[in-house]
Amino acid sequence: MGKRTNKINKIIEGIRSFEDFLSHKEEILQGVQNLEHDKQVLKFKFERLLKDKNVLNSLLKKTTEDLNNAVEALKTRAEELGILLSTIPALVYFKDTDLKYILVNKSFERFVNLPFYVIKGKMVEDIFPAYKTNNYSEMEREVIQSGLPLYNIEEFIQQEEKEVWLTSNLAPFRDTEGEIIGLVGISWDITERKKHENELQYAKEQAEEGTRAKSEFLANMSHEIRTPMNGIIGMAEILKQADLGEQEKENLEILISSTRSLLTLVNDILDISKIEAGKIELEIQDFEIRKLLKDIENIIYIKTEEKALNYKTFINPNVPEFLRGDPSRLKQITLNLVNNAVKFTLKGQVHIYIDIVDEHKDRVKLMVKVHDSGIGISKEGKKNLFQLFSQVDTSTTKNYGGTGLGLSIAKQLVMLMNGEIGMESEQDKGSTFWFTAWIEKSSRTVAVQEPFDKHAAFDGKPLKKLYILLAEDNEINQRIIQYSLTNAGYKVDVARNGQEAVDMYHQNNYDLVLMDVQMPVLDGYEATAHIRNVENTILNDSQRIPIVALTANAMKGDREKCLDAGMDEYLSKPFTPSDLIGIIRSVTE
Amino acid sequence: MKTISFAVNNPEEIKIKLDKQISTGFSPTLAFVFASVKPDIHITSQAFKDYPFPVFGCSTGGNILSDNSENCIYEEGAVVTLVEFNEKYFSYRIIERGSLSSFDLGRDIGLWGVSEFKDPAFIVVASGLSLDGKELVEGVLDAAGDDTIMFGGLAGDNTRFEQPFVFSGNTILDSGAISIALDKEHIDIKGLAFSGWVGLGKDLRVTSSIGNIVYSIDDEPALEIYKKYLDVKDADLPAIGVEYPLLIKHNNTFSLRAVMGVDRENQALIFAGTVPQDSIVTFSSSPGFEVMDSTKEKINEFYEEHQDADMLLLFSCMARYLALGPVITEEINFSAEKWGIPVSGFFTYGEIGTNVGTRCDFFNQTYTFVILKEK
Repeated sequence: MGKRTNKINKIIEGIRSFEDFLSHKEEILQGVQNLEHDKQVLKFKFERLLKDKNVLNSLLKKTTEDLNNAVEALKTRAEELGILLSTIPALVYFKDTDLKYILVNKSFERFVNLPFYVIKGKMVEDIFPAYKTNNYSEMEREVIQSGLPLYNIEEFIQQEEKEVWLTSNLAPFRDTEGEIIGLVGISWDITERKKHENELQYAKEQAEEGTRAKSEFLANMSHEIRTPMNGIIGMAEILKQADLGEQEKENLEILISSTRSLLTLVNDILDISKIEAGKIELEIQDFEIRKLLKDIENIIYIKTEEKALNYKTFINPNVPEFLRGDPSRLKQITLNLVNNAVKFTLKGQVHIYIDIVDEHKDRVKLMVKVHDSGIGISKEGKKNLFQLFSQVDTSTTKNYGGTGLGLSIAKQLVMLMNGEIGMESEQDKGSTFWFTAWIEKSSRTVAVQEPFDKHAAFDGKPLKKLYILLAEDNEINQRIIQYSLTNAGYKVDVARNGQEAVDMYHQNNYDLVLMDVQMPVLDGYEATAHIRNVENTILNDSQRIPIVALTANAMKGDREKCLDAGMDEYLSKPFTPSDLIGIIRSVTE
Repeated sequence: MKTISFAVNNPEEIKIKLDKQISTGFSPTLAFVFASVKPDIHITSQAFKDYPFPVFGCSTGGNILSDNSENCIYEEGAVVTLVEFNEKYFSYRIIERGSLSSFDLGRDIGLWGVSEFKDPAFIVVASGLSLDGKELVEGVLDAAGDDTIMFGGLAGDNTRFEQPFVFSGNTILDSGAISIALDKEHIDIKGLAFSGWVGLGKDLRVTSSIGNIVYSIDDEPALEIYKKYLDVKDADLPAIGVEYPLLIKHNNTFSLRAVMGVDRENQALIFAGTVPQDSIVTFSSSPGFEVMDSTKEKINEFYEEHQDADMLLLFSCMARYLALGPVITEEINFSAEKWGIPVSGFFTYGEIGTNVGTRCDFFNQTYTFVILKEK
């Protein structure tokens, strides 16, 4: 615009005459018109800028207000968060992706006893020098890399004489684009809780230990009770052979049967306490199931005869002749069910069914069903049937006797055989009790050779005259065994402990030693070892004396232990006179 | 392809000028007519009713013709560009919108285009203040394909915001569209769309909207927000909303939406294109007269790649005219000078454009420039 004005000014200044004016008139007019145009543009620009200024001012003002409000809100928020961070009784920290501290709260500062400006930019190992940090840093790195939080990391920390348990949660945090830019960690002091936990754990262990001790005590007690009971039975049996009047004989029978009941009860309690103490184990060996069922039939025969019950065993032909399992436990379970069936059946039948219900390459699932036509069990009664000390109701105990231990023991044993136990019954219409058990197949094809043949004890053949040394510390047992042996025609010397036995072995020429295992001074194992040692060093093998172990420990492994110690056979208490004679014959004939 | 353009301030002059051109042996096959609603659009339309060629006409926010004459913006009358080229290379259609949605109107155009040519490009103008330009574009692309090239604009009415039109020689529609489908096998069509507008102020959230009608922003009535933030009176809208449009933020890009109308009963604003609910927006403004430097830079870059052109069309946003005033002639004349041929076009209420290598879109505030070249 200045240029245009200058140009017009120049032209006008150059005008000296009217002619000059006329010749420049058009140029001047054009110049003025251009100026007018420029004025219009400037006017627009001015107005435009004014308008923009007004609008933008307003926008700026409003935006400033918005910003101030936002800043105020953020400040409040930051204060609130600050309060939260400083009051929360947890250690809170933020770290960047290099795992360096960028922010920590008051609790954290207090815990490490360092101000924030010292902590800032440091790593875990700088702040907790006494603590093995590799593991923790690894977890932090994992959180950064995976983007997944880690919860409840429990650690024991020693920091400046403090010993604390901390539980930590680690979580990644991200920027607005979702990129992980660090992590936040929160640790709680759980030392108190840990203390409680430890106390609880200790209390629990104490309780368990107590239970175990109780079971052991019960097991020991049962064992201790059994020994004198065997004495009672033994003495009663001896007494029976004396010349007694009718009344005395009857009384004696009651005495014997009561004692047997008591013995059964003690055996049950022993089983239960063994189960509870976790000491029951199966003794796996080959056996014949049909023979086992015949044994049961023999045992129950008198009772079924008394009640005139129809007792039958049905065994599916596909059940193998030979199996491999624990025959005595299998017998115990079956006998328990059969005994119950017979006990609760006044007339009709008790039938046993044996079948294979499943089969694998090396084992079969045996199903044993005991069906009776007895009194049956009501719905209510079924509920706790397999629980400890449970009977259908108290009146059952009154009318039929029993402890309620049998089925519970049976259940535990079935479980040991990976089987199940159950029943179906209807009141007054009989019951079917059944159980299954996984039993190994046996490779055996010929009859199992029993350790000794009990039936051989009194097969009519005259007994060999033998000179026997009995090593037994219990006086009652001494008398019973001595009586049985003398009665059978043997000559017997008694040693009261292992040392006496060894001494007497040296003095006399015995044909056989019956060796109790647990004895004072020298026990049965040591005495046996001594005898075998003498034989090996002084005598030759033909003069090796048979030694039979007598033991009350009917535990798994006892037999092996005795044989390993150099004994030839093994007889567990309680045993009958015929058991004793049988085993003596088996080792001497 | 031959073109002859002229501007008239009075529609009565159209016939005289047409006859004069035809008498020299020029025989146009298509006429682009960008006309003012002043003094009367009907007279402009009727001026063409006896001629055999189709008329691609619309009312404007100002007619543009840059041809070395003193003036390049015409507030009254019309700018006429007559084109003479093979009638087989293009197809023409005028459509009344009726009850069609903006999207379906676009689909209609797209389907028609692909039935006319195997590979069509489109030049489209549309009228109707409630028309959603974005939806129109999406409709065309839906029918003709995402890579369709299209240019054009929404008709204006000299900032009255009352009744824009599209027209031919015998039809005038205040709710409709005119489309030219070009056979790309014979006609090369390229262009650019550039705004230069910048966002201002804090992020706002569109809390309630349906299509191109925005009811509330940050839970306040949209009209109230505009008045409050820009410190303007009720009567200043919608015009002020053309100059200070909403900028919708996408991930890394943005689009501008100018206000086209006001629903005062609902305190709502009607925009030239869709404003999705929950979108984040800010106000925006031209950065000042310097925005033209950027326009020139863009034109230079484009010129380097595409120096040959038979015809230039310009769809420039009404808002640019309002913001830059008489100075806008700088950026309008720049392209005419660059290619050495006239540029005709108009100030729009919204532009349709396809930047090279990108998907066609609907814009506001842009300088949308098109070159046509017969192969």
